[in-house]
Amino acid sequence: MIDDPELLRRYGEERDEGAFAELVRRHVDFVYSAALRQLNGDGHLAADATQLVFTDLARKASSLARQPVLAGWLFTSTRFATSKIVRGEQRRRDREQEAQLMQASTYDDPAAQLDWERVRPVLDAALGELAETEREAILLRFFEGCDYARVGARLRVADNTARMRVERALDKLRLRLQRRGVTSTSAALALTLATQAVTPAPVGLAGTITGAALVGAGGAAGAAVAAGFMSMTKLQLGLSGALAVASTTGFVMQANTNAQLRDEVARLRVDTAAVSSLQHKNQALARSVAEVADMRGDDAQFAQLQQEASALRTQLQQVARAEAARETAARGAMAEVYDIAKLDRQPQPRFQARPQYPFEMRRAGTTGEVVVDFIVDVNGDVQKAFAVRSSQREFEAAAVQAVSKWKFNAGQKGGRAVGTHLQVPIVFSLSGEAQKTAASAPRSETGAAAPAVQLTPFVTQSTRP
Amino acid sequence: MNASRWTSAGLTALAVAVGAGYWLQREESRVLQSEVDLLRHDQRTLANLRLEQARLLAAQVPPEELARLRADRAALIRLRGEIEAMQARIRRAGP
Repeated sequence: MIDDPELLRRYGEERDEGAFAELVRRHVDFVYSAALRQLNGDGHLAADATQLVFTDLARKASSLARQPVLAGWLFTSTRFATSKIVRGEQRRRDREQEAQLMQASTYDDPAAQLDWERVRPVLDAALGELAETEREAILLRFFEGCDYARVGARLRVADNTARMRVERALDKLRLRLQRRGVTSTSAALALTLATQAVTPAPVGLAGTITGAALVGAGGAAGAAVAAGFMSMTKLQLGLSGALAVASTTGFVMQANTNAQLRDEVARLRVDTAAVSSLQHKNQALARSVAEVADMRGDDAQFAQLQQEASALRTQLQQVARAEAARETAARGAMAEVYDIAKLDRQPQPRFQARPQYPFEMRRAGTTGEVVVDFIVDVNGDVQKAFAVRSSQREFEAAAVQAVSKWKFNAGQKGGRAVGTHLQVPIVFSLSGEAQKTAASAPRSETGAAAPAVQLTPFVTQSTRP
Repeated sequence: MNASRWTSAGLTALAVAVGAGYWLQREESRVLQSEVDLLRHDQRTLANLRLEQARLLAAQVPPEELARLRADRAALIRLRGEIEAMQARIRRAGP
């Protein structure tokens, strides 16, 4: 035989209707007889109480599966159910009695009678205009049939306060109805509301509905889901629901945040698109400013350079005058040029620069000779030096350049210095060949103004690299 | 499995799915935030550039003044060349 907890587990977890039917079969007599006792033998109410108990059992099957003794719970639950039914019956009887009394008093006082057919269309609108606390007081007192003590308890005020609030609300309701053409006294309005506002439900209707729900719980899918919800632990449902709500809330908030961020990014991108072009423009402007600063510096320097240029022009004029004077003197010195043989005293060399042996010729081991024609002026300087002939043209420039630097004591005739026309061979020789080159015979040459005079060959000697 | 567990599982699955979406949104938000930071830095750069541009524009000279300065510069270059030529000529002339 399967024990009660196992049957409860099967029904609670696997929706095993057979298991629940077995539970009902086992305990229905016990529950019904307990209810019958507590309801003073009223069989219909006892059946209703039994249905309530087993409905509750089906709803709490999963949690009760851990309870080893089911009878204790059934007994306690039966007591609760019967007490509930007794209270409900008592309230129903009280309402019916009160309604009978009010109806009787109305019939006794025709002045207080109020036509319900006139009140009914405008009652809800008038109620809607009342303040919430006043509307609640009217509803509790006349629609739910609560006495002043219960009205006070529901509104969390003292009994007297509740009564005054009901009366005040009733008076306001009467005034609002009066505006809509329904004239009455507060007492008549109270009576009408008490007798007409709520129509009592047929006795036993609640039990019928409860029974139908319990019967449907065994088969219909929708009812199975409802039963599943009832048997679901509140903690699981609460946690799952809270998790889902929290996640959804977070998702929505994050989505909103991201939308705002995307908008901001788009706006900032538009703004910062100008950075590059602005940088280029600023660079161009900075170059312009630097150029202007530079030009202003030049401007300051310009005045200074103008002064310097003026001084140089003055100096240059002096130099030009001095050159002109020297040229005039040179022309005077060159005016009389004599052959060396006609002089009283020949020009004596004071300084003779050595020609530079051309590097290429020296490397090639080439020797040569250049005859240089020149004039020694009255100052002893060499003028108009040029190569008359040469064995190798590469030697000419070095020979002329060296001779131009020579200095003499000028030749003299009649006791005064005069110009002298001379020619001198310049011999380029390498080591070991100097003597041979130096011994080569010089040749005479006649100058334009006076016959040329040959000096001793000038030998320049070098070593081959 | 009863309906309550199905419901609970469904709600949990919904929560996980939405949580995954939330995590993705957070990642996107992080990327967007870093981009916003960069762009705000660029904004500060832009503001500095605008200030600098205002300063540079204030330092600009009128076109006629610029033309005068350029003419002076050309004259200065010519003067320098002239001075160098005169100095060279004086050097060649010697003492």
